[in-house]
Amino acid sequence: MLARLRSWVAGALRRDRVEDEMDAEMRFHVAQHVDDLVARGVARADAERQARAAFGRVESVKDACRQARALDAIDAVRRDIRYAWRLLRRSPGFALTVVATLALCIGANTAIFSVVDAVLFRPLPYPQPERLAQVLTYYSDSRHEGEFWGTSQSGGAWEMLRDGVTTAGWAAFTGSTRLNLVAGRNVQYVSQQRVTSGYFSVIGIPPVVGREFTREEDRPGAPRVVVLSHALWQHLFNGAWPLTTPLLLRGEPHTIVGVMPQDFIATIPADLWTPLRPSRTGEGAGENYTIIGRLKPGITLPAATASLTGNVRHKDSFGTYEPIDSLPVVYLPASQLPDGLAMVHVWFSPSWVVRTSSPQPGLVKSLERMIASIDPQIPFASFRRIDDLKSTALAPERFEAILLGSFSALALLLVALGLYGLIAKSVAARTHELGIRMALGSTAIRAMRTVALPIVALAGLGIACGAGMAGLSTRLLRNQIWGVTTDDPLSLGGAAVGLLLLAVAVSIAATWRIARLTPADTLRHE
Amino acid sequence: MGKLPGLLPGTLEMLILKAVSLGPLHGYGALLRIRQISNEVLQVEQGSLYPALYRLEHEGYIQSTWGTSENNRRAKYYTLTRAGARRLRQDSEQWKRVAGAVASVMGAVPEEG
Repeated sequence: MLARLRSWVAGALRRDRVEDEMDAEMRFHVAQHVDDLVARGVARADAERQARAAFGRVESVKDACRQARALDAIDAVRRDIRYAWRLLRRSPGFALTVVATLALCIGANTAIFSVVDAVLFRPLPYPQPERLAQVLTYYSDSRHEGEFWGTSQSGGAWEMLRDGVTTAGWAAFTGSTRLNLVAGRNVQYVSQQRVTSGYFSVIGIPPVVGREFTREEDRPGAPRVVVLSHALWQHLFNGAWPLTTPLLLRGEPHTIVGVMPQDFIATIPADLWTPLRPSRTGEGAGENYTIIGRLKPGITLPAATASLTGNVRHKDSFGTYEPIDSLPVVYLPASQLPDGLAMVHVWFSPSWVVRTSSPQPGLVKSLERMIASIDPQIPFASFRRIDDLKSTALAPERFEAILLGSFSALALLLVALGLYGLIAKSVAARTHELGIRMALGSTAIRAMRTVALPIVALAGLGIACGAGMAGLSTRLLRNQIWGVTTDDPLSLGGAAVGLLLLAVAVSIAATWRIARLTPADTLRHE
Repeated sequence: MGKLPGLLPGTLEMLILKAVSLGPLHGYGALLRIRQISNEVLQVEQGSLYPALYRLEHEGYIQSTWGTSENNRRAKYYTLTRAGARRLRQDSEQWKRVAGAVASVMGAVPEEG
């Protein structure tokens, strides 16, 4: 098997040499035979004639040899490729259309897929991501109906959480800013993210060398410190540790206390981190912090939420929003509700959760009876299985996935239709030529290959361009959206192979009618 | 030279492998050697010799190098590969079995009855 493959590759790569050697070998054979005959006393002219006759027709022997070395298949493919190349050079517009269509299709689709993958499907690259949560604030506004929520938190809120709420470890951070850095003779324009002490332990990834910020360093007026990214550390100091020379950031010396691991991805891309130093007053009293928390062991998310509500007294800087003190969650035995609360009860339309082993049909009736026996004023609205609830809760995600999937499918369908149209048009335009080929003894497969090969070759080129484009666009997106990776060979390779198969299938479908061409069709076409 | 008289399929390949196993040979030499050791009985048709050689080389049973012939011509010499030696062993065992069977069939005498 391996020998055959090697022989094929050698034959395909050095086709001319194989041909020359075959020629030399057979010439040697005849010459040798002539010598033998002459040595036995046959006249040279006679000997030459006899030797040639004994050998037979050289060309047919060569053909048989080519077949034996499986070179005939290689020759056919080479002929087709040469033909395809000539055809495409004659119609560069056609070639460009096919290549561009496929390149756009695969490039855009792969880029979108990598975003969807990062945003919707892949978990955060931190340990136990399900224990992480972000703090939101709910507002009510006297001028508008309803509630509003925001992600921005103030220095005051941070102090309150850090000092007063123990259900989670807390961390606050800002977006990134760009600044000048001076390290010895190195001057660099880098991006800085400000984070509180505890940030790295909350997301669960400690520095690879050194330490993260202490609580003391995270207060206004504390000594200036900085944690570096692995890449910046390598670039500036070539991995040297410990570092005694301070780093100049915006002209101020900062002590380097730690370096993050190589594959660490922060909440936003950054080269270095400095303490945020949020506070109620002064420089740290910003309004634009994000606060996250890692739930302490044994604390559930509802419990942590309950520990927050009612704690934050928030005076907004614009003074137009009135804060809601809390969205309390209270559990009361229903049977102990005072009569006066019955209306409230109805107003909030409570949900009941029932675990049962009895079959469903009779269940609804008995539930109604049970509820009526507790409080006849409660109207019974509906009954839903937990599976239905789950399916309702997941509906948006499912919808998004289906939507994206359908758009991709639509894009694929358009590509397939476009290719089909192009090939079908090419078949129609060449009915005459193809008919003659068939009449001259070309097989249908060969004629189909003649038409389809240029298209499939173009498809291959388009897919290659698309892969390049996908790499570029994903890299572009990577700067915008966190966690988008460019190195996903499986999805890219899968898409490429899939599209190539699609191109082949479309080619077969579009050239199918060649197989039914008869010389009569060709004549009618005249 | 005449035709190889009605042989079983694959026999030509086996004869070539055997001839080459005795020492490196060019195509013409293989032809001569087969004729010589069969006492002029087996005459390989020249036209079918080369396709068989090419098939054997393609399948990795023999390999070729260019050398110089006894009268100073450039010639392509074939030698047996390890896979070829294996194949020759299998083929000749098979051949012995078949030949023996054929011989005993042909040597049968009518039963006394």
